[in-house]
Amino acid sequence: MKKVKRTNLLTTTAAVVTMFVSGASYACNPGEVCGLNLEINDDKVVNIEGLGGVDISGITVVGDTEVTVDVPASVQNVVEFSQTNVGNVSSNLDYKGQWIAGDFTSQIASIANSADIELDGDSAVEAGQDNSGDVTAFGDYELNHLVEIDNIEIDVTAVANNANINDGNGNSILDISQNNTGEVVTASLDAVFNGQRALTEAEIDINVSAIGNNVSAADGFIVSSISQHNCADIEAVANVEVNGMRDPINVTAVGNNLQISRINVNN
Amino acid sequence: MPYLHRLTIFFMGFMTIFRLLIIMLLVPSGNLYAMDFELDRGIGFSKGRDVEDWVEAKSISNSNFSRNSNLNRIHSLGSSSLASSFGNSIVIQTQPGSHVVVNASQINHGNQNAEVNLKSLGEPQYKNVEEPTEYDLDRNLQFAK
Repeated sequence: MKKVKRTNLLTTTAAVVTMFVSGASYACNPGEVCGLNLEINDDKVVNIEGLGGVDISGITVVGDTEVTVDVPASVQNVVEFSQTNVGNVSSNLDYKGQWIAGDFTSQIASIANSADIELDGDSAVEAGQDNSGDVTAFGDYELNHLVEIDNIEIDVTAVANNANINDGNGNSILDISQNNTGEVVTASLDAVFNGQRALTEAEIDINVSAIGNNVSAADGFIVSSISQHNCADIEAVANVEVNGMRDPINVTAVGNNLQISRINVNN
Repeated sequence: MPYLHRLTIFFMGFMTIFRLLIIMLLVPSGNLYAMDFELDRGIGFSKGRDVEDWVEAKSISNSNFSRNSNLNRIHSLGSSSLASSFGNSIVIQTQPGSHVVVNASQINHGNQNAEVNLKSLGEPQYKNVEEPTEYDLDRNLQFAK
């Protein structure tokens, strides 16, 4: 059921915008696509309801600066999903290598809930991810006799809730909630490289990342309501033994990570 | 040597040893640098620094942990700025003319620890160096398979 009371451009002069996520519930039967309810009144208070509820209100008009938000008149794509994980997620890789030449690439990833969504056009996305398990990724490498190695790339990743949403071209709405109540999210790497004279000429790319909740929304989203809650301890550790290494090691531990960009679309 | 003179020397020597013993007793035998007697800030915080300042990487010689805005521990150990810890992180990118509304809430109750332990020597002489001229790579690769 779609209800779009007004679909014009929202043109306001805004200096202070106060927003909150409404707790309104909507009667949405299983299999039915819940619609949008957009209202713009004379006081320039904007309410966008539906898909779990995004309520924007309290827009104060100050000065001459004009802000225009192109609220989608009708959505072409509607995505609703809910992911729940209660078990522990673990990945372990123990590698002992001899006489390795050329490129050496290895990835270890543990993700409790993961969503990768590619959209094109005005869209509405409502998502919920809930994890209560432990998420761990361990890598143990011993590489010997690296005499003609060109590249070494090792990625160790542990994420409890992950959502990557890309809308190529649209004015879309995103409403997503992530909750991680597991005890730990751990990414750990132990690596020993021998053959150091050659390694001074090799590119070594090592990334160790542990994230509780991650949302990455690109390009198409103009209104986003994000809620992230992490209770777990996040740990990223790299123990590397190598001589003559020229490249840095990237180790990152993040409780809640949110990236939103809108740089590749026509406004 | 007169008896009084010898007694004076003995007394001075005794006092010197006594002073040394007092100094030794006053010097802490363990690492007490972690103890914080300042009452105007929480444990783990330096005087005159904001909480936000601690949400960044620390070298092992600086502090063994920090705390984020929720007073959770944030560890970052390493020999350089390679380790990064964040309780909550938001990155928003827009281009000129774009209009984006973001309503975000992030709550973190856990501890963050990012740690790099790198054993690396920058000297030209290394141990376990393989000489490219002393092996047959093709044969060894075949053997390894």
